[in-house]
Amino acid sequence: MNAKDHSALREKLTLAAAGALDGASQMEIERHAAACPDCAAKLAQWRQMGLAIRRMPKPLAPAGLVERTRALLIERSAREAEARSNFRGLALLVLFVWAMTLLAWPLERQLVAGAASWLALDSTRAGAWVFAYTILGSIAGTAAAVVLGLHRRQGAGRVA
Amino acid sequence: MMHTAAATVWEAPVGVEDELSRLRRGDPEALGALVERYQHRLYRYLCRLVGDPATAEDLFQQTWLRVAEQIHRYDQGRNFDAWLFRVAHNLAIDSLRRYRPESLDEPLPSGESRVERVPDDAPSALDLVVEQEWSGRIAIAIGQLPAIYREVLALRFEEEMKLEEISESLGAPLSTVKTRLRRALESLRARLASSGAISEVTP
Repeated sequence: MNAKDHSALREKLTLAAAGALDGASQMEIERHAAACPDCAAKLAQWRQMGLAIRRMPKPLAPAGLVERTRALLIERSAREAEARSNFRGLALLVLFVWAMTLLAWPLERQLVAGAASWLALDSTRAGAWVFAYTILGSIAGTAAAVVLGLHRRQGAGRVA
Repeated sequence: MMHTAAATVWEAPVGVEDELSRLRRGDPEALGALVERYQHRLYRYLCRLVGDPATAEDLFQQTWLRVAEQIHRYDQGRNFDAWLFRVAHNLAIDSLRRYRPESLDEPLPSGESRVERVPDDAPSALDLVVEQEWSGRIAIAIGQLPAIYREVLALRFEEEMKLEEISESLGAPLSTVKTRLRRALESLRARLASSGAISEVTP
């Protein structure tokens, strides 16, 4: 073996000692080390270092860390479940408001037509005003619910 | 990054597979069981990587919160250990980048990190609790290495991960992991030699 090959193999001794070479490369190093006392000694030194790393004092997870983590996971899970529930509640409320608005519209129209006739007003114009008022009221109600929901969520985030 | 070896079907240790299946079905107890199962390995890895027990504890909890959020993305045919350590690695690297960016300096061409050039003989809180014996000296010397070297040594020698698993955990190519491992061992040896723990500098 020439000096260049020897040098190339020496570079691999570290990885060989760490068990980080493929089978063929590992065999090559082992064969070389068997014939080269110098490389065999270096390989043994690297292996000793690997062994020393494995035997280092190992920090253990502190007492209570598992319980604290579990509690955190349960709290997060509960908060997410509450957020999902709030969202579903909000969506149902918005649907309910819109459904009531649509269902009540024929009745409102009759009442407005009657009132307009009694007050001698243009019933179509009065109906348009009531319609606009109802729509704006629904939008304002929905927006208020969303703002309240967001405010509550931010408050929960600050507490966490 | 996907590697051929890492993409092979992973055989979960007995118990883990069951806990993972339960977790994917939404059983909250399963996550608690996994936290308990991995408590020492994950905490130890984070301690080695960030070098501070309090930060390691915080990252430990963040890791499990992230696992709970992203478990639906985990492919059960793949290695859960590597996936879990990848989650922890990403959080720890973000933390180091935010609070100690100098600890993530790329090693210089010589393999030496810029951090290594700054003498820092003050042992960390973690170092103070280790014994002043050979293995204790190794632990202290490792604590003074750059984070990326500490990490690869911990995964290979303490967690006994295969190189393919380390590659998957770090999201780095296999060749990078090999280079990092070799340089980590050489830096460790040089550090031990300079502190007088061993007599020889060049192996």
